[in-house]
Amino acid sequence: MIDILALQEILESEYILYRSLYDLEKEKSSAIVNRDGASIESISQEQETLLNSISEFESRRKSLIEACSISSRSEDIGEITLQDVAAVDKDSSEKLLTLGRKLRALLRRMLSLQETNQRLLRDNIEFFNMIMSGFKSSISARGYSENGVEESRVTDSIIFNQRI
Amino acid sequence: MNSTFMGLEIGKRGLLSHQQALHVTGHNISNAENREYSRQRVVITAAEPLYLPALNRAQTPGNIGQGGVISIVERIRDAFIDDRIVVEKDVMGYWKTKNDFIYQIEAVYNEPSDQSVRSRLDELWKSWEELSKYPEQRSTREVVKEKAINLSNEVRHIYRQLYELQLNANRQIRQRVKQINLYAGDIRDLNERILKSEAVGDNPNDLKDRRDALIEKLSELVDISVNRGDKDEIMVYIGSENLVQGEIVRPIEAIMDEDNKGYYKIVWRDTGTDARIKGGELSGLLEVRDKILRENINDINSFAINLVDLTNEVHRDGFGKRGETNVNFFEHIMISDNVEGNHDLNNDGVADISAIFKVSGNNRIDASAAIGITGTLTLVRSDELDSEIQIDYSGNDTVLSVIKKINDAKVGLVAYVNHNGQLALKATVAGDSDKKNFIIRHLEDSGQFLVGLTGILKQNGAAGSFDYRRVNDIIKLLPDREHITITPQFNPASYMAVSDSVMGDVDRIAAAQGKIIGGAGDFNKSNGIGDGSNALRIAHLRHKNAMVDSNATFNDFYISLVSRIGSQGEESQDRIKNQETLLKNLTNLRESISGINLDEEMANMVAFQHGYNASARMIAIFDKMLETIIRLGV
Repeated sequence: MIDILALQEILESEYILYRSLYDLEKEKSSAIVNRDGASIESISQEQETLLNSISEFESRRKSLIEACSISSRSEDIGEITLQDVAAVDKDSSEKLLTLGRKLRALLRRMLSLQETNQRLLRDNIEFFNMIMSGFKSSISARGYSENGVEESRVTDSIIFNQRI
Repeated sequence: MNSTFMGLEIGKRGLLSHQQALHVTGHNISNAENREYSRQRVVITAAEPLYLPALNRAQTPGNIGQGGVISIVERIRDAFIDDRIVVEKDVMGYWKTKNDFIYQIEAVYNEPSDQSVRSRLDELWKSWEELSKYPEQRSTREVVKEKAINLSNEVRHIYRQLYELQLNANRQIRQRVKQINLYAGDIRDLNERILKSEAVGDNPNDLKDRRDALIEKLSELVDISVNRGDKDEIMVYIGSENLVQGEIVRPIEAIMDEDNKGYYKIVWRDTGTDARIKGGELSGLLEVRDKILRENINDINSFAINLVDLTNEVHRDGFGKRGETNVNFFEHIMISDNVEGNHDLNNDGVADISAIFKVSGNNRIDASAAIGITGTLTLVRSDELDSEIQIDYSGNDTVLSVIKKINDAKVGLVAYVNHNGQLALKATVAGDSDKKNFIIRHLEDSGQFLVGLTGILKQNGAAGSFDYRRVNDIIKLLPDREHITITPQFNPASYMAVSDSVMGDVDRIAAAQGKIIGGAGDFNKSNGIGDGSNALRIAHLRHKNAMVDSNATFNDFYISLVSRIGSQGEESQDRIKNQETLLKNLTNLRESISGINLDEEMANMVAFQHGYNASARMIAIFDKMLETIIRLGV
């Protein structure tokens, strides 16, 4: 028989940890926009600590679910879901399912925020790569001359590798 | 040989180039607050020096400088950031539009409040309970009627508002299409003007700014991609087809789609082919109209028809105060006047389908006992292909396990055991077209489950099958008309109401159950005025998983409907915040390149002013030199 109370506690603790992780991810967005490298680093370290704690709760959650799978199921019909567990104990099912829904919603929001942060980082990296290549390499520009004749010209790099 | 006049020319060039540079600086400063403006920069280069290599050149040291000229007035702009902004604005437009509508849908449901459907439904269930306790009192009957009226009004109100929102989304689609064509036309005009300017050697920076601003505005409306590869023409694509190619514009058009209730669909005006819209406000509007609002309208219809049908099912079995029976509590309007359910689906004036919503078997069954028979049910999914699905049953199965198989198959048909212990089959919302909502598609049994055991079909095998694509196919069903419900008229939520019969006389509310007198096999005599057991059966519908498709009670179904729109609202708000962050970052990056820095412009202004003054001084010096030469001859 599954320990529903223990499972509830685990899910509640996981929710609190994921919530903190989400808040840190929001702080990370501001840090990226402000190009505050030191903050990004410290936020990432805090997130790693939180992820370690989450993984501990996850292993406990998995072993609880596995115990449920062994004790209450005679036939193997795939992975046990929270709904299956909730069906075992009707009294606490509503609370358990609500917790599951809250956790799922939070994870979805976090995933979306993480994707945003990835895009923010990618934009900034590409932008600065481009600026650096402007500093380092020669740039070819094309256009029309005063006489309306098509021409191209090569301008030197801004700082490095300048031709003398 | 350098003449003294050459010095004057150099001075003049200095004056002109610094004057021009000051003009550009002034232009930058005046546009400091213009968000669409890109910083401009004057590039002053050395004029062609003396002398060119030639045999007749002067025998003096060569490459003598001739002053400076303005080679170009550059626009400082980065296409990478522009393209990224175009992409993100398209996503922003999509979520903003969705969010606007989701917010309005949330307001329609008005939860939590005393006037919401949920509160009204709770009040109705309570009133039935009260009626079961005091069936002889007129006041309790009046309360049931009033509460049912309140609920019906609220359901109709919700339907009407959702439908209005759908119409509004449809109208906005047309407006957006007009706006897209307007922007595309303006971009085309600018392309033409830019090309002409460049052909004469000008650099039309301000026109290019205007074009970029238009492209950004366009990207909020629809997912576009921009090809800047060809210097002669900029190309704007929707999907893989070009909307603007240099001086050519291909407008899109909103035309009425007969297959989608006459709502607008987007096509290319020249070819008439569908335009593939994947993002921007237009895509948001299409999704809101065809998915989110359609889903909500279908759900409220499903809620209404199931509540009406189940209440009527029990109510018809009960007896009113004066012994009236077979009375509907709620109005049930059939899809057609034909009592056999024949209906003209394709509007050609001839009935072409049998529209049956529900059929209850003739036989009472022990749902948990092994059925002891084998066979295969053939059903048809409610999709565009009317694809067949087969469900096998064997002797070890129970009626309940077969019901589970049918419901799990999600074919647009649900099965359940009704209040009289009979198997009932009921159609749900269709997966393909709303016109086919609540129509049972196909019933066929190779064995005896639907035939001898439950008494739904007269005969097994293909010959005895019921199929909606045949008219008069109601004859394949075994039960009499009392146990068959014809498909309701479109959008049952729009006309949900208490039946005229009950409205006219509350004594007709069937609070009492009946008894069988004379072995007729059916309840034919009321238990009497003091019996409220039928009202109690109706009150108990509250706890029944009546929304079989969702395996939920009426209340749970409605709560999940409201929560779904709530979580959709949360998601869209999150997405908007994320997009705002992305756009803020990209705008900052662009500002760092194209934005006006007033300090920098002031420094330039001072530098160019000094250059101008110095050039003027040069001219004055050469003027004196010329004066000296002229006086030599005096």
